Amino acid sequence: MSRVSPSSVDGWETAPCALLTLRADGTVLEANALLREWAGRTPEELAGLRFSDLLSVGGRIFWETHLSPLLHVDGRVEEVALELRSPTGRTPVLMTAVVQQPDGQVQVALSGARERSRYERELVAARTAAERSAQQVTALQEVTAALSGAVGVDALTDVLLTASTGPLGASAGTLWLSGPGGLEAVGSAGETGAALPEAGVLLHERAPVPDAGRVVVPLHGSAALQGVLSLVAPEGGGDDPLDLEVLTAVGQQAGLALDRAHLYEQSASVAHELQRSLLAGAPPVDGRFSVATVYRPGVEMLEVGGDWYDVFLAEEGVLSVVVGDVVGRGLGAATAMGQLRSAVRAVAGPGVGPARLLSRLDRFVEQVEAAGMATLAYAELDLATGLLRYACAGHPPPVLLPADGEPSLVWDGRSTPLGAFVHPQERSEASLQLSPGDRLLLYTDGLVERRDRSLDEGLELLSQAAAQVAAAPLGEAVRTLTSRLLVDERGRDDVCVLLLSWAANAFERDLSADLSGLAGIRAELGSWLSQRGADEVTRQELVLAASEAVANAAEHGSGRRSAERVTLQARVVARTDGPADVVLQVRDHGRWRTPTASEERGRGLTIIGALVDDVVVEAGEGTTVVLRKQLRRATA
Amino acid sequence: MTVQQLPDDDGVRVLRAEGELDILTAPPILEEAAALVHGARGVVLDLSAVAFCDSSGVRLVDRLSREASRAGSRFRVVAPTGTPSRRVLELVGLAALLADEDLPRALAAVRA
Repeated sequence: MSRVSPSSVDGWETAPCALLTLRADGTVLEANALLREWAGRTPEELAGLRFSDLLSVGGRIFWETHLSPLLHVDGRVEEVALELRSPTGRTPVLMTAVVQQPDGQVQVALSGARERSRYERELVAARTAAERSAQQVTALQEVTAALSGAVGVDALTDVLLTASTGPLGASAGTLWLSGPGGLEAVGSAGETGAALPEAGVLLHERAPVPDAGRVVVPLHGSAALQGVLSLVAPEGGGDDPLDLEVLTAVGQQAGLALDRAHLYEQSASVAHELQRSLLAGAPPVDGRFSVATVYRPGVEMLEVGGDWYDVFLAEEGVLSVVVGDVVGRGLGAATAMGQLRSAVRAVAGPGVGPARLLSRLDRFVEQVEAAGMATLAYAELDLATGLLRYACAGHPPPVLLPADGEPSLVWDGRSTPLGAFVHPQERSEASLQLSPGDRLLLYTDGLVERRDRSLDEGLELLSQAAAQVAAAPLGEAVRTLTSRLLVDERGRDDVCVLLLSWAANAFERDLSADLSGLAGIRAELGSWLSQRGADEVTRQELVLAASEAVANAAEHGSGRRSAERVTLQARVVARTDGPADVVLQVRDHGRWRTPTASEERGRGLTIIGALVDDVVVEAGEGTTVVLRKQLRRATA
Repeated sequence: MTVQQLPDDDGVRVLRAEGELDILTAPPILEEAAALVHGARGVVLDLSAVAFCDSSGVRLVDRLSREASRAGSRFRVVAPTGTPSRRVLELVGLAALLADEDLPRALAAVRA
């Protein structure tokens, strides 16, 4: 019996849910009014259709592979979400179906699920919004934390550019900062040569402005526009790939952070200027020793520290070198440092020596409270003999870098910091004999002490770094060593490093490739050659050859750039077959080369070639020119 | 490093250099080369008081001789034997062509 026409069963036809009776094979037997409405079919059209014909494609497959077998096994399925398909649209429904025995007919009830679907869509929308909001918060937190952790304008620049292609989600970005001449591009991430946004936008907008695939984020400080960040929206990122709300907040924070950074840099430069002025002063000039120093101010804190170094002649022919560290930071420490530095100079002198000097400084720091517990390493070098006397008051051990052999820490001659309440009756000192070419390294604890490693590890690293730079010229050695040890360090503390070389026989200077020190170096080389007994002509000719070679290296190897260095070494080398030679070695570290030799350069080389006995040019990492000339001595 | 321009005498000008002539001090003078010889019928560059002279000094001599020639004036250099300037000019082969032992000889040479 087929009953696809309205049934007379009570309420069945007018039930508020769609009802069906199916044959065991799924053919529609009966359907009530609501079902016919949802299916969009007349009783005639329904006749002979299978239930699966009324479903969407997905539902049909689900029915055939899953629901129909389930009905045969379990006899019922409940609350399965399906979609009814009509010629005009789809209706989401929840289906419950029961198999009736003995004929196997299936009673199906479908309730509308529009409300439920909307609810589910709303749930999805709410979850998306929540996720987006969480992403916004996370991005904002990341950027805010990075901004507040950055010290100085350069660090802020790094943070903003890193964040652009990171948490802020741009594919590229460029940052301009306000300078004396207006907005200047200071850096880019993922692009080059981006155009500065229009002035009108920057003047009037306080919020980010989308503009042709980019978003322009003005960075307003409290008083003025500090800069502008222009971001490129990633491709395929949808309608709103860059989050304007987040960018608004980041723009405000970055503007204020830039305000702070400018303030910080002004103050920091005043403080560091003060300290530099305390460290200023030319070391004595003498061909028998060389000193190279590095002072690296701590960048994490505003206050200056109390680190200092000093080089002076304690008496004729005796060189004093000092590296010290006054406890604390700020003006108090800097002032105490200045006083202590002067006190060392005042106390040192003939017949005093390291131990007695420290005892006298103990009495001095009783008067100057801020200098109490200062530490220092002090050494006196007899320039004629190479005898080194030294003492350490609570200071990290100096490092001896022999001309031949491994570096070693100098652990003798130690006693307590200055003015320590518990202190030995007498300060101790020790001595060691330097050989020509030996070097001594003094430094403050910032070089080796870090929160993430022990002092012993720091000292071990220092020894390794010292071994690696053993062959480098003095200035390069101290700079390389310092940067190796501070390579990934946050720069919390000041660092002073001093490298002393006893030459006896050798001369070594390095100068900026801007050649501002050239005349001075000629004078020093001239007096060094005179001390070696060179006659007037030999002296003049070697000085001229050296000057030409240095100028040549600075001009053609380093482009006269002030950051590049040129090293001049001179030594007397004995020969078995006759009088000694003077060997001059000029080394530059530049990578830049002129493709063609200029007329002047050719002239310089002609002059050098005519002045010396032998010229060797070694190209490698930089260029080294070695000049050799017999040392003709003035007749007594 | 200074180059002093003495008052012309009968159209002959003496440029008296003092100090060290090197890669740092020579360039500003090179810039002035044309002006230094302008209007003189003879020019003498006196290097006898120069304490140091390298190839930059050679460059200066070369430039002044060129400018003088262009202006139609004669040019000589005072570089006495044993002075730093003389040594450098000898090394590049200019001494025999341009250098004199003292000022009177140089003046005589430009007036000849």
